[in-house]
Amino acid sequence: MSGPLDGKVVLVTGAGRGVGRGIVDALAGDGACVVAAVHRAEDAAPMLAAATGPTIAPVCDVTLRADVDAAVAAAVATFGGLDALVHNAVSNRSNEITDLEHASPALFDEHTAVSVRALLHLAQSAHPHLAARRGAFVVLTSPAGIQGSADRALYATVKGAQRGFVKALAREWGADGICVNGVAPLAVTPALDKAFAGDPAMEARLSRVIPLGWFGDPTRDIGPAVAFLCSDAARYVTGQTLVVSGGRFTAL
Amino acid sequence: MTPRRGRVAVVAARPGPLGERVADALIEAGAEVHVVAPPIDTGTARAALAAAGHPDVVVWADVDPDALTPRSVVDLGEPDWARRSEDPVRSLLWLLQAAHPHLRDRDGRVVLVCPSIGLEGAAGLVPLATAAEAQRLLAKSAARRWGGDSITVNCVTVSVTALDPALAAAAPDAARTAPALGAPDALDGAAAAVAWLACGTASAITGATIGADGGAVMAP
Repeated sequence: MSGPLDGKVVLVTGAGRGVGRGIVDALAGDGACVVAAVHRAEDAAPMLAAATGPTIAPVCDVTLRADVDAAVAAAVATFGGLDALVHNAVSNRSNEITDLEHASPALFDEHTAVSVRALLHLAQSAHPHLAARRGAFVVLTSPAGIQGSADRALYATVKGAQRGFVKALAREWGADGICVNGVAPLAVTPALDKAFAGDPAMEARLSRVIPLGWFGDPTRDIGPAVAFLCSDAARYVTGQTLVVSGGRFTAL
Repeated sequence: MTPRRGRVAVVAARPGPLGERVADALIEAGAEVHVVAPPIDTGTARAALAAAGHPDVVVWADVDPDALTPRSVVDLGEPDWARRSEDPVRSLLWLLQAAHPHLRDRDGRVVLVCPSIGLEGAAGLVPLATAAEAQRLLAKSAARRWGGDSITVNCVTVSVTALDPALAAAAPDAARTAPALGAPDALDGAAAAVAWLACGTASAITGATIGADGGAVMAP
């Protein structure tokens, strides 16, 4: 069966769980060879066992340039090149409720290293390969990076930073034929799943403000949007943020 | 509602035209102005605010001149990246944290001046665009969190060519859209917008971004 990503090689960071896992499944379903970069070594084996297409799962801490270089090198060595890179990894502390007044330097550094400084590593490491194939660079940002957040200010800050990065890099890399875009999802995550399990009424309550009435599924709702931006169908789309939120967020 | 004179403003700005114009506009609006030069850590911020007495306005009006020097992303070293894209956000965060107890429940006002390329991007200036959007989202988040404390937080965008006219030649992508109003003194325009948000009848406006770029970007 052929798919829109047949023969394309896509590297996904933070691929082990949640939205990252959904993106991997959607990419594989569209025919991509997937480099599922996982932060935790224990996520690699289940990832490979469940793979539905050509997949490798290197361990990669995106805050370490050497890890990023190794993951990109593994993509090239295994599949012969790199067509798209998807930066999905976020800090393990991204769901922490934090008073802006008391946000610590350590928390700022943690968010910045994973969400923003990693973009520098990924962009520098992937650029020659993406330029060779007129590829795509996709960043998972957030509606919080558009609207701000009263109780997760640092998360919103780095997600906003990513949108600035996307817009500027799209202009810088346009001459290389590389498309650079963002996706701002509203999705069920492992943390949200846990919260719903603890408070069964919460999902219905929160879903009421989503016009379509449900939280996005990582594989069926978020992954396809990412896959589209990695495909040739999106070759004239660059510098944009695609909000995938069931209509919850409409102000861009 | 009438503008409130007699405000006490702390302006974060290093020596240069942007900080000077903003300070002049605030003084013209009746404010007492105290200036602190970035980079700012928590101690610096607390000391500057305490030295001002009872500040009820904080303005960020600073862009690192190094960040206005075009460099491609693939050529940036990590220290250079951190200085251009992370340090301004850190400084603003520490300033906001130190300002909160001074501003709360006093109709406090925070205004940021941000380069408009955060809204539309520009080749050669990726770290600056990254920092600009980080600061703007930090401001929006502060606006959401501190609205209940009667603190407003807003942004004014200004074109990078107003900050450094040489960029029109050095980074033409940053000057690709001509301002609808032509080329009046953009820094004066931005300073006037800052003064209105800080001292004027803007108490119901928060989390907003006002483009003071002569009508170049027109976003959203």
